[in-house]
Amino acid sequence: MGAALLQATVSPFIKINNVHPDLVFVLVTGWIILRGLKEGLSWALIGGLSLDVISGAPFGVLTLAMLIVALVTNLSHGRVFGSSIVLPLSLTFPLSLLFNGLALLMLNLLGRPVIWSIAFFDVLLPAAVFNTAIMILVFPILYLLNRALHPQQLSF
Amino acid sequence: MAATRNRQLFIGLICAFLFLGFALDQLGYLAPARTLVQSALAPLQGALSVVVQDVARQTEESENIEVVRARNEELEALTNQLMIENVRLKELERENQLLHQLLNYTRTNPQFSYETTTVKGRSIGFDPTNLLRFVYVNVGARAGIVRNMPVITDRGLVGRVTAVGPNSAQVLMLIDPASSVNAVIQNSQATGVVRGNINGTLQMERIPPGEMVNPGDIVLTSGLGGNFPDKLVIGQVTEVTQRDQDMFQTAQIRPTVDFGKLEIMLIITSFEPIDYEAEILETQEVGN
Repeated sequence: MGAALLQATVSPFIKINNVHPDLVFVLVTGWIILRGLKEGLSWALIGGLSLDVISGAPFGVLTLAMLIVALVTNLSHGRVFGSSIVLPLSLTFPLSLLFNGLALLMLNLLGRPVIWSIAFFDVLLPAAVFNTAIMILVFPILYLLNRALHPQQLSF
Repeated sequence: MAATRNRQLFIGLICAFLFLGFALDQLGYLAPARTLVQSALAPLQGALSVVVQDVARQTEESENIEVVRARNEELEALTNQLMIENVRLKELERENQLLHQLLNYTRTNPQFSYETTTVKGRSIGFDPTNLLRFVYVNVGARAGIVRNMPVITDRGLVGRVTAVGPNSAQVLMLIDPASSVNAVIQNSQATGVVRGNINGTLQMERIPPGEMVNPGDIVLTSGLGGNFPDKLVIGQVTEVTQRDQDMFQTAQIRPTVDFGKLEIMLIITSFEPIDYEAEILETQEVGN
């Protein structure tokens, strides 16, 4: 909820060409990469619901998109070395496209006009780049937090 | 095995919960709960917004390059002010002619005096997604705000109120793709519809093909449809296009309002928007 509030309040000040990073999405995917779906699903649910409450989108759209992204993110968990920065960076870009694309598709199906070419090149793509850049800053913090909370599971 | 079953059950419950939530939301039953949460969060969001705005302002002042940018913004603001002043003068001239014709009548009917009451609201947050263009203000039903009231700044039209809580309101900005405003080009009086784009730009559609529209022309609200008062400044034409297969002309509009830097806005409370859909439904119900 804090991240969602921060995203709603701070976003105008860190916008580039009307696009700002999706802080809640970055935090949720980063945590799932580190901790897997068992913990991540709850955080995806909380994060999605927080966005839904604050946003003007119909209830459930952002939560559903976040949960689908959480399930897809979990496919990578345990297959690649989880603490490497390469994995979250390589995943954030396509996952961000998936998250915003799914949310926009649902909004479109609910009657909202969408010009997909403009949406893809002017919003989805820049947002994916922005989210990847933010992940570079956020993931090391999540990694340290995870190591502090669960020291035994990262002994290698 | 049990863990997988539990997870499937959990996901199933979430889906059922979301479906129920969505259904309740569409039926309007969720509005009080949403309003309650948003009202509870509004003071926190407002306080956070003030802190963030202060930090942003101080950071800006500390950097030399920002001074140049600030100067540029000042000049831009001055240009916008002069442009709006020019628009006002032209409109006053036009109004003057009309008022002259109505002078005798208005002298004997003082109820025709024009007055606009406004409520001042401060921006406390924007929509957290990149897909929707809403801004939230710290005034709501307690200040007399109702849905569909127009929201403006000194630079021009911002949008309209789409949801109201006791102490906060949600404003759909002009640049949202779901927003459409009937507009008129000031010079040629050509009409059209101004719509938002997801990338935060504006375009005026459905301009009749024979009408003269040029870059630099001022776009105002036309008042048609009853959703907005007339003569509110929307922006300036930057480009006009008409492809062979198109029936109408389309113009790209540069808004006079900087939607990324909204701080204090005015909500016109004296204007009563006409909800045609509701009126049609009422008429149909009476007819049945």
